[in-house]
Amino acid sequence: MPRRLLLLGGSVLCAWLAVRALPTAPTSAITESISRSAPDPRPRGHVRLAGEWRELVALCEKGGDAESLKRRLAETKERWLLEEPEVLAGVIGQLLRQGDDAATGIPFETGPGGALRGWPTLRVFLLDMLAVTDPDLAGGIAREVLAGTGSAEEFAVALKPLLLGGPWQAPAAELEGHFSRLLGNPAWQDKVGLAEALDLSRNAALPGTTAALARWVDRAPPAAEAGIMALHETAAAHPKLALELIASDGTLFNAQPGLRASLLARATISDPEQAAGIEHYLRNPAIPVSEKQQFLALFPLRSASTGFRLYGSPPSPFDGAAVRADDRAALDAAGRWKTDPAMAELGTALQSLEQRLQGWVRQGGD
Amino acid sequence: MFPAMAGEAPKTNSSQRVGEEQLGQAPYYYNGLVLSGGARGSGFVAEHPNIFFTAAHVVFDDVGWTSPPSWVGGYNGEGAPPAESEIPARGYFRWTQYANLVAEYGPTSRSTFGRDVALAWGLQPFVAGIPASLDFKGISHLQQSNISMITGYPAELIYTAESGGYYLHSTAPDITPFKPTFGRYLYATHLSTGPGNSGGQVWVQDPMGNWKAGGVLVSGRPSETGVYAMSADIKSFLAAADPVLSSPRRSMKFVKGVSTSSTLLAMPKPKNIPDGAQRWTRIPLSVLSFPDEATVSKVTLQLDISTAHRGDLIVALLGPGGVFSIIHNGEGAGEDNLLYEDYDMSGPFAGGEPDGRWTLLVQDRLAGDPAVVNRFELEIEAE
Repeated sequence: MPRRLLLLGGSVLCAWLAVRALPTAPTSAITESISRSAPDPRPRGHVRLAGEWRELVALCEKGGDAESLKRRLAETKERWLLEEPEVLAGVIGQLLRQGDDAATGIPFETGPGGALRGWPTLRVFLLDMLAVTDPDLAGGIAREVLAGTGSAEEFAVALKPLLLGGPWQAPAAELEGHFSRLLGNPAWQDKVGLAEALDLSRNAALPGTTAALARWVDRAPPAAEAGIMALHETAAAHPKLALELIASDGTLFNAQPGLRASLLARATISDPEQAAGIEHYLRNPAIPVSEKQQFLALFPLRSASTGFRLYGSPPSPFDGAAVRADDRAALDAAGRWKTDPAMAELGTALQSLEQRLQGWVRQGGD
Repeated sequence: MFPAMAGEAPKTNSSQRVGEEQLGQAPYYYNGLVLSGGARGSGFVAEHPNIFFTAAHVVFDDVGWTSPPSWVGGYNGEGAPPAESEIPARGYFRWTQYANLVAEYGPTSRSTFGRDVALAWGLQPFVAGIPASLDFKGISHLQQSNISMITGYPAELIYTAESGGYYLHSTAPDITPFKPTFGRYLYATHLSTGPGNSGGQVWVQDPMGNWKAGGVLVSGRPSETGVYAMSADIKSFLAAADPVLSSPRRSMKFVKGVSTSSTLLAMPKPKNIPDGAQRWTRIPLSVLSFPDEATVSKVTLQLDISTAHRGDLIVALLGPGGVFSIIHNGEGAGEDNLLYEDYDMSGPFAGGEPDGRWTLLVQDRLAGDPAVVNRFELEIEAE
């Protein structure tokens, strides 16, 4: 994670990011002036929310401390959630199209259920709210933002309405396109928004997004570590995706054999297709013995990283019964591999694997 | 409780060996050695007998994933424990950002220590009986005037330069003012444990005199100590481990019957859903019954929607803070009523705010089969 982004929290600076001719008078005076001059054609909810928005912008412009601004935004969010979803989506769309924004000095932070609890800019705040308004309207507005934004954080949060599932889930090709744009933007390579959005790979579970992430990691970008973690979380939740990708591209991770070994160590050996893939890997003479030993030292890898995620619940990829079944299947496989002449040079590593698995199978009650 | 120190007492509160007779007593009973590859550290069993906590740097190095660590509980000796006393863990969880921070700042930066915690899980209990409780407000309590102490297995008592062997040690219970540094990383001076003790338990005494696990020892110098302090965020770890165990928080509630409060909410009367309208119908329930700083530990749903065609329906729950989760997404085309009984919806809501508006959102997107929400009940549990 980039240092300068981490240090954002120390700043209390609020500054205009985009300059627009907004009134500088207090909001109450503006509202009064509007009501005296002519009736506003917009529904009352629109007027009220737009007024609150101007207050937030003014507050940032004035430069308050980040903690009190954070509390204010959280309160605003709670209040706005009481509005009719279509009204709120309409107002948010209008405000986003206006292009006004202000930095908050609050670091980007994801909380439970993908809801943000830290909004670095007011437009990110709007996009966070948009995701829980009317989903039909939100998808359209989000696509407008995705097409035009220069902010990785806005891009990451704007993807949320496209990942809701059901009728609102964006088609695979569209998600793959957005993900490639995100990974391919040179200006976003060290942005916290990019690191957060890498979770799209796990969430969408598409061959295309997994492949895009893997090839990006293979090029060793500045945020490679975040990419490796996202790949591991994808492989932990969808081991078949990772295995098929690696099997289909013999050159992938040739420069990072330890990564390839650890990703494959997440395979579910009780699935015959994955079992066949692993056996092919272990018999493949092109794979160095040292890499296979690394694989066997970790297999079956059932450790994982977790935490709050932008696109859903924290990763929780393992199931107790499945782990026990896989351990039993892996023990059977290890017994076979030990007698396989093609794996003779892995004898010590296989012996060690077998002992480890015997212990786990015993612990698991079999 | 603690052997008196010879001569003039040092200003620094340094670890002392815990007597053999105390090893089987709480809170020392929950401590153990954590062995990971060639490394050793400390750990403690909390919230579930099959879970122990330690420092992330004990189980994860900058090379990548390692085999799960082993646990040795109740041990005291000059030499390493025998191999047969080890209980291997089956896996572990740690924060995603931990590896990023190690790569960016190294393993000994303040920001890295602020994520330096791991939960290891096993297929058999690490201790018999009821485990220790976590103090989800440890980050606050350690900065207040609560009595705290640190236990674990230091390899060396760095303040006095004595060997720690493989003996359980403890600092003296004392009011130690921990100071915030970065995120969950707190820091105190005049407090010393020793190398090899990473992952040791930072105990916080509650007003009833009970010890709870308020943090994990992650760093130290001869007279300084750094800890990862517990907060509601750690519930993400418990939620992640939940499917591989038997629901840690539920079983704890059952066993102990404390530290959890709940509220039950129900809609007052049936609600018709507009047929063929592609917009949300909202059924709100308000919660205002939990103390400040309480966070959601469990959400259980009872739902009964009558319809001839449940494939037309999309149902979601919107919680306080904008936490949103789809319950039903048009599955079951051609089938009738939608029923959920004791449906656990904790996943996305765990760790969030319990007080506020909980809204059921329903759409009947295709015309022709009217739908009625007959029952919508939520049980919110918070700690």
